[in-house]
Amino acid sequence: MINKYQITDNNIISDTMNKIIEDLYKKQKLMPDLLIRKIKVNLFNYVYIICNEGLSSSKNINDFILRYLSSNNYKSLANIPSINSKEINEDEILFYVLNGFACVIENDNIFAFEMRSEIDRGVTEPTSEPTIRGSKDSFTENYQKNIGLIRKRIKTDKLKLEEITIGTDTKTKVGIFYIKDLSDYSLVTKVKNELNNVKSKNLIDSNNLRELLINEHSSIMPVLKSSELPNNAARYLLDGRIIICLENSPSILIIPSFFIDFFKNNEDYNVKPVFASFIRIVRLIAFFLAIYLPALYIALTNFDQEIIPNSLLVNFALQRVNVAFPSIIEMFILLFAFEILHEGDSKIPNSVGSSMSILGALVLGDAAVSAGLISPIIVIIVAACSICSLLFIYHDMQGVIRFYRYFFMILSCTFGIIGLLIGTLVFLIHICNLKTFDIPYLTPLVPLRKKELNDSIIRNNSFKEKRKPFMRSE
Amino acid sequence: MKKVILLLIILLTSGCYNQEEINDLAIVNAIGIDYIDNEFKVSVSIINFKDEKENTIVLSSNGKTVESALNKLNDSFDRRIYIDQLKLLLINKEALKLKPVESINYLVNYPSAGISFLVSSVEDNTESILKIITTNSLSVTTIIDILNNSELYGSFHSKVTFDMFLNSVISNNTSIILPVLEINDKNIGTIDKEKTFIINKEIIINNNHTINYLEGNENIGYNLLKNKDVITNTLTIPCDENYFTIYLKEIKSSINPINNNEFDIKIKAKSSISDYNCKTTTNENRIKNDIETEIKKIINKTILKSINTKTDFIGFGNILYSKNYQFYKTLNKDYEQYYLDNIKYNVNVNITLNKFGNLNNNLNNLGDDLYK
Repeated sequence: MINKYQITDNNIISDTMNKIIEDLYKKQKLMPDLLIRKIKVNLFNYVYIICNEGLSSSKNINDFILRYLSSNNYKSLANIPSINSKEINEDEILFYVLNGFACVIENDNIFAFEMRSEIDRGVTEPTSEPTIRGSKDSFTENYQKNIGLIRKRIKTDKLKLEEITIGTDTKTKVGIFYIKDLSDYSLVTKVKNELNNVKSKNLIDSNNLRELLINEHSSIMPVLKSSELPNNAARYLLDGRIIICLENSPSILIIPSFFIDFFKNNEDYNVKPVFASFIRIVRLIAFFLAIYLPALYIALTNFDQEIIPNSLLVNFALQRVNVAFPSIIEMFILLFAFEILHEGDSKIPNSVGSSMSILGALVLGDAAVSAGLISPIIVIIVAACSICSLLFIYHDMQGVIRFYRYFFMILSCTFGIIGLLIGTLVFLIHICNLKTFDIPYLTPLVPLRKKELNDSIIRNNSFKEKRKPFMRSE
Repeated sequence: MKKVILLLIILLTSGCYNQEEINDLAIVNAIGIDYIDNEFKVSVSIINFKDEKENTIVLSSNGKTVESALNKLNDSFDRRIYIDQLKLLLINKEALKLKPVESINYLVNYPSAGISFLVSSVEDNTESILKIITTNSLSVTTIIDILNNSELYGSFHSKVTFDMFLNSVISNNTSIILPVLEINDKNIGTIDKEKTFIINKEIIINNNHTINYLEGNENIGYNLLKNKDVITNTLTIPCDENYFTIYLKEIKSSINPINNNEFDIKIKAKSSISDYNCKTTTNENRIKNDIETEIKKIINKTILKSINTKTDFIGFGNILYSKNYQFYKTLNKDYEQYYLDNIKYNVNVNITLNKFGNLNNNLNNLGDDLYK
C-alpha cells in the first residue's frame, strides 16, 4: 500500500494515520474519557498516544512510554520496553484501549502496550462465605487476580485454562479451569461447547452466565454452585470438577455441582471429620425441617389431629383459644411478614437493620401474640423453620427452601398429611430425575457410589488417603 | 405456566373440605360406659380450654347403642365430640356382665381412636368416677398414672389395654380380666389428691357372664402364671412372729400340658431379701424353701380360684389351643363349666437368692454356709 504523505506544520503525517486520528476524534465527542495525545518524538515525526483515562494508568504511561519516547535512544515503537505489547491493526484500537492498553500510532505502525490501572478493590475477606479458620482471601472483580489466586494454590502445569469471550457488547472473558488427567475431558468439551453456544449481548456477572446455560432452566433446584473462596475452587478442581471464572465477577462457578455440595461448607475442612460430619447431618435435618415444619403443623393440627400426642394437642389447642384467624391464614401471615423482614434486613444498610430487627421482634413476636392475631406456637414454628433456612449460606438453596415450603404448605392446606406425602413424592421424583451436565444430581447418593461417599454426608479424613477424584470414578 | 396457575387455583379454591381447627374440637380423654335399664349411658370427660386453662367437663347421655348416646352429646356441647385422642375406657360392672361386646362395638369400628388406650372396670357408675376428676381439678392422666403405677410398683394389678381387652372379649379360650377402679373415699378433699382413686382388685368374668374378683395376693399368682415380669413383684412371708419381704425379678414361668387334664407349671425367678425382720437365725436354704412354699401356696390359691369360679382367667384353654389342639377341638364353648374341675397340676418353683443381709445379723451364718 502506497501512503501519501502530506506536510502540515512542517511535519510528515501519513494519510492512514490522519484518517485514524480523525475517526478517533469523532468518537471522542461521545467518549470524553478517551485521551488522544500528540507527541513530537523528533524533528519530523509525531506519534499519537491513545488511551482511556480511567482504564489505563497515566503513571505507567508517563514512566514507560513517554520517558522512552522523549529519550534520545528512541528508534522505533517496537523497542518500547513492555511485558505485554503487540502490534495491532486500526480496527482493534478501541478494543485494546477499552481493555486498559495504551495504543501508540506512528505512521502505519500501531502498537498496544498494557498499561492497566488498578480499578478493583484488591483481595479482601470473603463476605458471603465467612471463614473462621480457613484462608481469608476471596475472589475479586479482577480476572487476572482471580486466576492468580487459583494458580497460587495449584502449582502444576496440568492445571489448564481455556479462555473464550462471551457477549457481543460486553466481550466478557470467561476462563475454564480444569486439571488434565483429573477432569473428565468429555465434560470439559461439553462445557466449552455449551459456553460457545451462549448467545448473549451482555454478560455482566457469573450469575448471569448460570441463567444462560441450558441446564439451569430445567429445575428450581440450583445445579451450579458458586463460591467466592479460592480454597473452594482449588478443592473442587482437585476433585476433578471444572471451574468457570468470569471477568468482573467475584465468584466462580463449579461444574458439575450436586445436591450434596450445597450442604458442604469450606469450614468443614478445617475441623475434625467427626464434627464436620455431625454439622453436615445437622444441615441436612435443618433443610428438611425448614421445608416441612409449617406444612406438617398445618396437616397435623387441621386434618390429622389423632397423630399428635394428647398432651401436645391440648397445649396447641389452649394456645389457639383466643386467636381470630384459622391457623393456615396465621401461618401465611407470619411467613409473609418474615419474608419482608428478611428481605429488609439483608438489603438495607446496617444502621437501620438493628431498629428493624427490634421492631420485627417486638411487633411480630410479642404484640401480635398479645393482640390475638397469631398464636405463640405459630411464632415458634415460623421462627424454627426460618432459622433452619438461614443455615444455608448459598442463596439459591434458600430460594429452593422457600419454594418447597410454600408448595408443601399449599398441598397440606388442601389434603392434609396425604397432600404432604404427595408433595414429598413429587419432590423426590424431581430431584432423582434431575441431571447436571448429564450426571445425576443426587450423585453419589443416588445412584449409590460407595467410594465417593467419603466426602458426602459423612466426611472421612480425605487428606490422608489417596482418594479417587470425583469425576473419574467410572 | 398456565397449567401451574390452573393447579394453584384448583388447590386454593377447592381444598380444605375437612379442615378443622383444634380448638373447635371437644377432645375426649375418657369414656365411661354403663348399662342401666336396657340402655347404654355414655359419659365423656372433655378437656375444656375456654379460659386458657386446662380443666375437664363431664357430659353424659343415654342411648340404645353407644354411638347413639355419643351422638346425642353433640346436641349439648358447642364443639364436636372428638374421641380420636381417647386415653381411658371405663366400663361398668353391669355393662361388662350383660353387654361386653355391644359396649365396645363402636370403638372397634372407629379405628382412629386406636387400640392402645387403657381399659378399667368400675363397680358403680362411671359418671361419678369421671366427675371426681372435674371436682378435684385432676385430669384423666391421674387415673392412667395410677393404673401404670399399680402395675409397676404397687400391688401389681395388671393394666389392660384395649387390644388385650378386645382379645379376651371375642376369644373363647380366655376370660375377661380387668382392674377395678374405686373411689378412695378416705382421701377425698385432702391435699393428697393423687390417692383419690384406688385399685384393690381385678374383676374376672367367664363366658357365662359370672362375675368374680381376684383379691389379696391372687393377682401375684396371676402375674407369676402369666409370666409377667413387673418391676417389683414383692412378697411378704411370715417367719416366727415377724415377716420378711423379698422381691422377685426375672420371672420365667411356663405351663405345659402333660396330658389332656394335667399341666406342668414351672416357675423360675431371682429373688432378693429386701426387708428381713425375723428373730431366729436361719440359713439360705431355709429361706429359699420358705419362699418356694409361699409361692406354691399363692399359685394353688390362684388356680383354685379359677377352678371354683369356673373362670379360665389363667388361660388353660389357650394353652390347649396352642399345644394340644386335637384335644382342644373336643372342648365346647363353655368348657369352663366342666373342664376346669378335672384339672391336675404340678408346680415346680425354682428360686435363686442373690442378695441378703440385715441389721440384726441373723443372716450372718448364711455367708458361712455359702463358703463351706
